[in-house]
Amino acid sequence: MTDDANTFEKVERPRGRQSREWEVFARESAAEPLRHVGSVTADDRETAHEQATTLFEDPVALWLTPAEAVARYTDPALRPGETA
Amino acid sequence: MIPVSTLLGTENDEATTAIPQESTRGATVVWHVTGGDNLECAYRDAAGPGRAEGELTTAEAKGFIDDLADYGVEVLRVAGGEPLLREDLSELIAYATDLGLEAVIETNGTLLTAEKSEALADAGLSYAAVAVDGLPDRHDEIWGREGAFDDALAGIEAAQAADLPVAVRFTITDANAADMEEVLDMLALEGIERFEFAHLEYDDNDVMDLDVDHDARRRAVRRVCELTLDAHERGHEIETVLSGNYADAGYVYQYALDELGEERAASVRETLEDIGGDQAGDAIADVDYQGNVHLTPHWQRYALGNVRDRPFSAIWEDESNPILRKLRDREDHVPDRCPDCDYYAMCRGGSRHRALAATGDLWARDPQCYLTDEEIGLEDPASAD
Repeated sequence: MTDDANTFEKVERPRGRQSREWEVFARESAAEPLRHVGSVTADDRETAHEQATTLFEDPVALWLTPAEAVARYTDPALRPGETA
Repeated sequence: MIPVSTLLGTENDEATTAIPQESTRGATVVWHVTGGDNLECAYRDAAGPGRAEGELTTAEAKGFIDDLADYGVEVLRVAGGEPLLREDLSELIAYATDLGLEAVIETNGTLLTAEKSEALADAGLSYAAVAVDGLPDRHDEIWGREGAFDDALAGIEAAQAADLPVAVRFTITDANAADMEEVLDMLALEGIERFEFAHLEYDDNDVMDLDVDHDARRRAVRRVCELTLDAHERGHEIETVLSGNYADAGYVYQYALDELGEERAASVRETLEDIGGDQAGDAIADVDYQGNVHLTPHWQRYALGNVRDRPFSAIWEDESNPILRKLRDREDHVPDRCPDCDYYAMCRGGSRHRALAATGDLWARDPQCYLTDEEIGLEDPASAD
């Protein structure tokens, strides 16, 4: 990690294949933080929810957002082909 | 993969190969270098012509390969789309092999020219696995273009002329199972020494409908065993492997017990248990052309993360992900009869992804498990349906 958050760079490359990618966040119990647990590929929100529910059986909370709605700012040191 | 010729052959066979060390986490990474394809295969996701949007650049790809090498990945299996559409393919292969990775490509063979074959051989590619999925008409139908078989054969010849080793990869479907033996005979005469027989993986019903039934699958696996032994007895030491269905491990063990005796079968069993069964989310990882990290090559509808956000090694080590954690500790989750199966240690419950695709339940029975309750040693036999 670099020290200065202002050096983070926005990752603007697309995610997803023939249909949309949905970022999935799950909370496994009330005391735990909401965690990013990956992404599912689905044409619409209902299908994305159905897929996520199938994969994550017992979360107390499941959040979904279209991947393109997430602004991803990442330390260049974590990105392939970049040096800090 | 189940190395049939190594398991059933003798120590004197030249075709015996090193047993894959599949139990090492992240030992094999399948990387789809492009989403583009020049053919439309019936049993794979349509990729579309040309390069696809969002592919890792050459610089990103090299950074990704650096991370794989540092992490200890042993084999980089380069797939597509059609990997030969990437103009920097040889450069990337050379980069990987220079870092000590073993590199293999999966290709439809039709773009394998003399020039590309020489470049790949110079880059240190271990072998090109060329898909041949039936006799000419059948193969053309599966790959969606008349002449695809002839072009694949021309690609194989170009590779052979460049001293680039070639394996033939035959994916078993309802349409082509009957061609398996003739394809092997024909291509063995062309000098092919390694044959990979793959079971069908699927994400949707259209592909699932192409699958063979239990009886046909059992016949196909038996035929692979028989063809291997027959060829070896004739002094033609072809190498054969089965992939995609670890129920085959139990079947190959039973075959060895019936045909080769208890002592040899015990050795086969030990080796199969060392290989350790299905390795999705563990020893085998998948990265698509946009850098999304998947649990296994055909499970593309779920990604753990993306290598543009953090390195593959960090994603693969992050067991805060509940699915990754469960897959690595799957004995507590596998379905009904699996924990008591005689062959659990060599199968690990089969393909979780195929169960998910077929039933909507990640922890349902792998629909391709064709072994009966009696065969797997359950005390109260029912039947595998």
